[in-house]
Amino acid sequence: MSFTVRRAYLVAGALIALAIGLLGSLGWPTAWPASMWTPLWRSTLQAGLSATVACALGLLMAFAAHHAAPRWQPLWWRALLNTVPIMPTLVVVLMLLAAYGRSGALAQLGFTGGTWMYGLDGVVIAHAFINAPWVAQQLQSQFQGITLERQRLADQLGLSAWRRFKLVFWPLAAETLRRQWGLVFLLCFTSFAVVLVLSGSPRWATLEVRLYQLITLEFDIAGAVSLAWLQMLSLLALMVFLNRQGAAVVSLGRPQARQVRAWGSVVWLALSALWAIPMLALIVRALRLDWWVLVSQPVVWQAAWSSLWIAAISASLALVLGWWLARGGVTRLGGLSGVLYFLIPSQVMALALFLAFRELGWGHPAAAVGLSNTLMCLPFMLTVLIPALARYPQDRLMASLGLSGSVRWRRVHWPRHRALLCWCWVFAFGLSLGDFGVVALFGSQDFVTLPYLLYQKLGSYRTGDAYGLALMMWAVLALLFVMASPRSPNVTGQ
Amino acid sequence: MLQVSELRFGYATTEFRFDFELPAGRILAVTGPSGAGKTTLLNLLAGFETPQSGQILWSGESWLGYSPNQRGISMLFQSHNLFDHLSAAANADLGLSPNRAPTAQQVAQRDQAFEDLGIGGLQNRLPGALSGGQQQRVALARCLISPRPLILLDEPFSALDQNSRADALSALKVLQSQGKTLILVTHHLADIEALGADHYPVESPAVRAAL
Repeated sequence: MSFTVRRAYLVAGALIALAIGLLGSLGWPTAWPASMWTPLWRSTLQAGLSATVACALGLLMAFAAHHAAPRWQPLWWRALLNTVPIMPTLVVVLMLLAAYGRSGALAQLGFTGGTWMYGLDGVVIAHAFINAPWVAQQLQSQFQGITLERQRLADQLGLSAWRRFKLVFWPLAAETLRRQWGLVFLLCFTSFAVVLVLSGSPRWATLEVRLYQLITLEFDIAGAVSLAWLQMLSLLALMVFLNRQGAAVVSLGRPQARQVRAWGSVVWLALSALWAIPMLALIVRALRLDWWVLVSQPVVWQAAWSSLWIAAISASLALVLGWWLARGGVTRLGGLSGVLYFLIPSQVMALALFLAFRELGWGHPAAAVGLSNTLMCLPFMLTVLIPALARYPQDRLMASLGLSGSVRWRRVHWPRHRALLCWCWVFAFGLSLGDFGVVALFGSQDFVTLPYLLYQKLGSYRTGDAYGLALMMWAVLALLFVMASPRSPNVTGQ
Repeated sequence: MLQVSELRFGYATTEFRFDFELPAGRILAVTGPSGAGKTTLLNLLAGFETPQSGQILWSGESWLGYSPNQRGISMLFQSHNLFDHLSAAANADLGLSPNRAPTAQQVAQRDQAFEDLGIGGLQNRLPGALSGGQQQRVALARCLISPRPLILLDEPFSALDQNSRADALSALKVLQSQGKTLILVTHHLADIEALGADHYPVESPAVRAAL
């Protein structure tokens, strides 16, 4: 067994042991809280609705984009849309509030939607806003596979837009949609920040938010432990169920040119506005702010500093672990160690860390946040790294050429995977920077991160400051993405 | 009668020119070396490419301003002629009424076409359960029942074995006998003889003198 493989087994084993340790410190449920089923039902309902709306919107976006003229969909805008899914959720929430909230841009223009951003509809809108571009992106790469013959056949037969959609696009989309629906559902099922802010929290708490309330407001740790297990078991059951539904994907030949149609551009522009308006609204709101007042608060710098260094360390650690796991090619065990952490939602993780620290008699909040961020990024990183690295098994070639250690890195790995690794790091950095899960429990006067501070500002009705902080986080991420975006379009750096 | 006169189409350094006439009800075999523009000719006729100059007339009427589905043309590609998730019958019906369910009379017409082309009884199969030759004959059935008079075939049988080829060629004769006009790109001179087709050899394109 080679060093890389042994290392991968070691990492996977350590990760699994850590997960068992965390669940162990959580302990078994002893008492069930009175109202468990309502939050479970709410979690399921909002996740189902969110996934359905996100998939429908994503499908419409992809179909329109496929037929829209390229000049209406510039690359920078598509890139921006594609980063929406990993934008800090609190930033997204503020964008939506800036546009559609009680005193949002639309309300000021005379469209009085009132308080409709709060409650189930607000949660579903935010989840759709976050996930629809992702679904659209996945579908579009499927649509690239539609052959020229197929398109010309449709042209020649004079198929209407609806028939063209049903005959040519739907068969390709159906499989992808089913898998994406499952993924979006699972992500929304454990969504925390969006539900906490937009649900009008006591009234419409999901499992994840209820867990937070039990710990912070009611100090009912036993009840929280039970809810944590209920949530993880439901998540596991849903994941197994959704995985069963998936099947092999239809794939057809080479990518090809497409026909531009007027309605495609119109629909695409209309849909784009749904994303552009909140983004612009956030920028306008943040720019009206008195920035001097914001940046003269020491707590802002303190928060920015802890956010940045924790995110940088978490991202690097996650990248190293992900690389070791993926390079070793122990796909099943590696995948399992990633999936485990997908099954531990942020509030469960927070609770487990809280209990573990209490047992150990030691623990710094920064360690809790950093560790949870690292572990939370792993499943996503592995889904990218494992297939990308499995495709180039040239260890024997490298060994026979006598390439090893740093030379291997300098000559092979880095040139080949630079774009991929940069992208993974920025992705993990973005997730960590914006995460408002574990820090919701561990944050305090002495330990603040940007999302924590933002939530505090929102809670104390200093909305202006909150918009400013959101713009700061967004700007940092945008800058990193521009820096990390590959010079050539190929992400694998080939 | 199809009249193609002084049709020009060019890329940066090469220019194709086409000029021929084809009486209705005949089969025209287009031959020539690869890169000579055989497929380009079919794309120009079908409206997938726009010529720089020249004229395409069908029964004296110009097709140049028409979109692909307004021209009286069905085109058969080398592959991907059928939708994989539709039955053979549903695929063929697209030739008659692409946006509606077929009438009883249209169903009878389609079943007759399947009989004539030697694929009777295969109506309910999905394309994946048909051989390559059967798939191409289902596509031909779609061309046959469609009201479009001119059928373009771009080496449609190049992937078929010898026996399937013979069946497919006799299917083309059926189409001709029912009044269709066919243009066929082929590499097999034997096909031309077997079909009793007219022959249009396309030469290598003129290289622009400007270079």
